[in-house]
Amino acid sequence: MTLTRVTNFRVTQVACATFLTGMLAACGPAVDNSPGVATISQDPGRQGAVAGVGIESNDIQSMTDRMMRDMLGNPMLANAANPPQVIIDSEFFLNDSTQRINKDLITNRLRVNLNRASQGRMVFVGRNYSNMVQHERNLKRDGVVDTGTTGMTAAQAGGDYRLGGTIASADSRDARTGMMQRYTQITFEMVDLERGVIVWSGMYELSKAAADDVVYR
Amino acid sequence: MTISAGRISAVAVASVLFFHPVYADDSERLMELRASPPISADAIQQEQLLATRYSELKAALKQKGLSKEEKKALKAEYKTVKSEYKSIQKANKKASKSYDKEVKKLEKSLRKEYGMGPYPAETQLYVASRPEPLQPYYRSLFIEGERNAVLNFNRLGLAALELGYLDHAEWAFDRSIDKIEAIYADNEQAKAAKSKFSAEDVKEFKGEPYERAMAYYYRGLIYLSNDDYENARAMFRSGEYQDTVSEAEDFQADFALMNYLDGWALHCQGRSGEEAFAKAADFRQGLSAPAPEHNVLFLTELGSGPVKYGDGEYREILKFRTDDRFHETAATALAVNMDSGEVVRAVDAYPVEDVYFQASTRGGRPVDGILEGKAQFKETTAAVGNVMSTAGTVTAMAGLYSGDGDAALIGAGIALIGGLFGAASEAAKPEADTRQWDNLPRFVTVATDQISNVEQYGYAAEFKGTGGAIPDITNAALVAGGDACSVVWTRSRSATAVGESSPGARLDWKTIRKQPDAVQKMDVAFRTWLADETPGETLGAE
Repeated sequence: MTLTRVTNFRVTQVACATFLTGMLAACGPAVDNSPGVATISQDPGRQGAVAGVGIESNDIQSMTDRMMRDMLGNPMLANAANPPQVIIDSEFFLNDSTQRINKDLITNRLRVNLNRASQGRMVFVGRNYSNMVQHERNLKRDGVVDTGTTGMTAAQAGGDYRLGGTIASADSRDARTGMMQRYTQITFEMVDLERGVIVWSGMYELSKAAADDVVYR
Repeated sequence: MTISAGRISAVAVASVLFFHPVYADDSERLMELRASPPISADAIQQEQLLATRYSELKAALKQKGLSKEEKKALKAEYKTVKSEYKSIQKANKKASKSYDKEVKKLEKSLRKEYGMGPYPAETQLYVASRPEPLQPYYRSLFIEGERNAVLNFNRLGLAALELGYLDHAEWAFDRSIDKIEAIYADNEQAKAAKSKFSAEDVKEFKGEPYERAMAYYYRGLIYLSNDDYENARAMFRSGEYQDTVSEAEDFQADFALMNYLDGWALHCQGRSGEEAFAKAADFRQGLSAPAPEHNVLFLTELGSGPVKYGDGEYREILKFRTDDRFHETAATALAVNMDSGEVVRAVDAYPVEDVYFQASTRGGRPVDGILEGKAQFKETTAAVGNVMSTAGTVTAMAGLYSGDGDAALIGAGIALIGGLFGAASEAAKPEADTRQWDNLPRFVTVATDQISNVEQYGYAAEFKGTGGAIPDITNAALVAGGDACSVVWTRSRSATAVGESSPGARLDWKTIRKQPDAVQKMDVAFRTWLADETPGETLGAE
């Protein structure tokens, strides 16, 4: 075997080995062998396992906590001589965003936490329970049941203030990089139900961006 | 060596004789075994009682100061109890062993056929508790797993909506949108779809932008029917956002249907939808906003949606064509007196959206570059392989004829490398993903009117078109909402006039069982989730 032939033969061997190594390496990516994910309890105050660009549980916790603290610092709401009667529900809390959402998640948390923290400095009117209340009032007045222990009033409680607000968003996308971005702005306002003036306002903003894998763009 | 025809026949006959197919009852038997313990509760209790008594007697016999008679009586009882205990222990052990053996055998046999499943009995169990007309869609959802989940949620949701199973439709579209909105970053199957040796359709289906937009459209329609106008609007706006990926700026966010419905959702809230209606009219000349007093929206869908196909030498270019089986292009919405059958109102509808137009004006996709690269790889490796194989063979033959062993060896080596290139070319998969939402319509038309006491009438649509058969007057599939704001939804072609699975979407069992373990395990988890989460038979059609 001449030197040239030996060299050629080695070149062939090396080429073969290199090619095979390359082929093996290119035969598909390593796969994740994790066998699914069993149910896990998550802290709703932190970003969850599934995250998008919209409002998530940690945002709801964060915004309602902040609004609650802010409202409790407002003297008209939390330091009045007579505790004001307030209505906090989602009736006038408008979803103008591109995200489907159950608005009660926000307003219920805000009301419950305010009620607990205000310790009587604000009185909360359960307007959503008015049918239930009216039914019991009728029974009392018809003599079907007794008057209870707290006495009777001429009418159900009226509201001094009611929560209003808006969830709005602006979505944008970079067609070149596939980056999606959503700016979400949530405004909260307490409206005087006699005069119509806004006695307190609060705002929570968030902006999130993400990009799908290129095969989905 | 050659194999004679006779030999082939003998092998075939032997294969037939010794081939034991796996029947559905194998999985039924396995399910039955898994549901029942190998040893009955009575037998276990009996063994435990005897074990306790056996220990007690053993200890009692070791006591000091027993009389002869006492010892004799204890020994007699001990002997009997021991015998009974050992006997039942042996029987229970045998039953347990036999159970384990049968379970293992069945599992092995089923796994050989179906991989990690689903096995026929599991599918049957899941499907049986769903409404009968929806069972084909639920079967596909269960069998095809995460890979086709969005596709199957969409097909199911649309069929359920048409058949009046609103809770099922709502559930299906919610789950679809959850997945559409999830960010797929660092996803293994998405990575695999980019590999030269995996086809694009190994990725989980999210749909092309027009398909995603239509999922939002139907979810918005359900919100409208539930008088939830705010979330309906959120869905229509999200649908429009899906259309922002078009390559050409002219076609970005031109989904006029979504703009129009955005305006309608505002109109239902008592707000001004003028801006949204005007935006819709920018794309569709002659489309006018509804009059302020209009309270009924007629949405009428015509024909069948775009058909995807792979173009190019290796079907690597995703393209769309129209489904030319259907020819209706216009509709008139009808309100009919239910007693007399008299048409009391007929409103010509405006064709606000052509779904094929939306599909075909999207332009290039970023993934097209990857598929083109795969196609080039396939072409180049095939060409190099051919050249090397030919050159190698020629060199080897020349070497052999001339008695030059080294040349023959080098030639064989070159031919071998050529063969490897050829194999690499064969293994490359540049085909575009053509899975499609096949029960979508081609056109969506809109009309509005003022009708008091909406529920007093029946609703239908009449169709027009040229060039082929046009369907007869068809009753509305959905009439919902109150007098303040109602929606009437009609289709010229039924969403249920499609197969159990979207064409080409379902993998065969051989491919399913050869998927990586991680993918199969993910599907097992998906099926477990489905079994817990799916609405049941109790929710009837409305």
